Amino acid sequence: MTLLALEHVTKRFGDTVAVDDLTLDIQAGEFFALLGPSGCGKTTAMRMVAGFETPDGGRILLDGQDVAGTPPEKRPVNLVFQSYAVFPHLSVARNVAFGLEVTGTPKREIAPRVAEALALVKLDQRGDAMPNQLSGGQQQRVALARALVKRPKLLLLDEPLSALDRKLRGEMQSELKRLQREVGIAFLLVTHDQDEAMSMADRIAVMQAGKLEQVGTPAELYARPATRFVAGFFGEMNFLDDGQAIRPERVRLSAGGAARITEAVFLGDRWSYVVDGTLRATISVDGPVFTVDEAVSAGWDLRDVLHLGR
Amino acid sequence: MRLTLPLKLVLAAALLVLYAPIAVLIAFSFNSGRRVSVWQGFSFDWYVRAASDARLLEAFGNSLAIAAMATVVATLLGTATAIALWRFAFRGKPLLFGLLGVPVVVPEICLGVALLAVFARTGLMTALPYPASLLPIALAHVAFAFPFVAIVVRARLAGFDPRLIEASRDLGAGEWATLTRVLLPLLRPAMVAGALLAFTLSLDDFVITFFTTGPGTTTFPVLVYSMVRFSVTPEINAASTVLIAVTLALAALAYRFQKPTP
Repeated sequence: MTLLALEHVTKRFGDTVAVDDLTLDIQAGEFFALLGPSGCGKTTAMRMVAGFETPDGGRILLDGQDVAGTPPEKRPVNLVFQSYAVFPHLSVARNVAFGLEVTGTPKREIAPRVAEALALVKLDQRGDAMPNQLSGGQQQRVALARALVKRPKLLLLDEPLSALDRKLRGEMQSELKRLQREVGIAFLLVTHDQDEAMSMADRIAVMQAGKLEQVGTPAELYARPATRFVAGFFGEMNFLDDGQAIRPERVRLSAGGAARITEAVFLGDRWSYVVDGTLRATISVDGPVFTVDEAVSAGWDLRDVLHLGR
Repeated sequence: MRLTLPLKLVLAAALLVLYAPIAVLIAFSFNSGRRVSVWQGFSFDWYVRAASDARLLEAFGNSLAIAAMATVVATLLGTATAIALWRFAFRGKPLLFGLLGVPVVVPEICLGVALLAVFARTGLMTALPYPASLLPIALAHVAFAFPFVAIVVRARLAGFDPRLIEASRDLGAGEWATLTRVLLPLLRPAMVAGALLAFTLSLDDFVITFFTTGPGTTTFPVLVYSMVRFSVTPEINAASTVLIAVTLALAALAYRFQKPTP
């Protein structure tokens, strides 16, 4: 069932087109990622869904209803801000209760729902703490609990892992995945990190310069990239002539030939080679091993060659 | 870095210039003699005298009443102005911001004359009977005090994360709930600081008050001025000491209020 549909949505800021004729849909219960380099329009698209920006053209449908003219406070959508935006003057529990209090939720209902949300993000012991007593990761959990307690139809996450250190980032990835499964709410993740999108999302929309490049599952995007941009964005890629490309792991090397190994890097489970300074090849450690300056010949199956548009 | 001897002397001289007059004023309010320059023994006589001086009490009460009214209005107006300048984009916004500085930099004497002209022309100064005659003075005080509040609150808003407003809206709070539950609580320290500034500015204002006070109405600074013209008595010292105590107490209160709640 389609939960959110963007139909030909366009947004301009002065002369620049931030989002250009964007059409996509998000299914109920889905973990969806909007992926692209900074300035590609993904954050603007998300802010239009939240209601903080107004599209210049096109429609945004939530559950089949056009949300044009609906202010952010009336949309069944909640946003986890990149900077968390936790209210510094309220305790953790009061932060989480905020969205229920302002919408007139009965008092006896608020306390158990707040407790439930805090337990969900494993902050049930810190309800009385003030935000300045929490680490960045904990503040993010407050922002998550505060949004989830509202039971939105769609949760928007703006670069949720970008401010966390590397170790915490890995933990939070599986944490978000677990949360999404547990609450069953559709998540729309906005990120510039392809690994993040790949490891969490059911489907990914890749954007560049305000335009949609391709939508698909991580496996589809990796195996059948539609454009050169998408092909280069996920993993490594050797671009050949005439819009053709081959993944390094599909390249086969054999000893003897006109080509030379110019670089050999050991990566534990595989070797990464560069042949003649341009062609990349990764070979499992179980396969043949080559050394720099060794003469080799490179080849591949024709069915592994990708044909890219543009 | 350690304070060297010359620096210590400079510090001592600065402290002396700043605080010696106040210390002398307070000390001589407890002098038993009439002379303001010769110590004749400790007593509370001048406090008793001041407390039973009906004119002084009335002027003191007037000053407090004017300051209270001016502070409330100036704080509301100043905060609203600062929020409007921060939140909304509108034509003439730079002009409005510039105008805000005018009462701060224009010499007080000019403001006093200008207000006198307006009040005299409208008959505001003479038309009202006594307690109501304090209202025009309070209005004049609002005029010069509210830009100070606006400037203090605006400074606080400059460091304010606008995402907090968006977060509030996103969580279901409308404009009003966002204002009362997020913006105003976070601005409270700046509002208290601005209010205190407005209160002290109003309480000890002489120039503008002098020009806008109608016949039969007086405030503490204006009364002190007229008393001093005849003779300086320790009674004025005593009353001034009370004023200093009141101001310090308010400052201490504001300081406590501004401390973040744990």
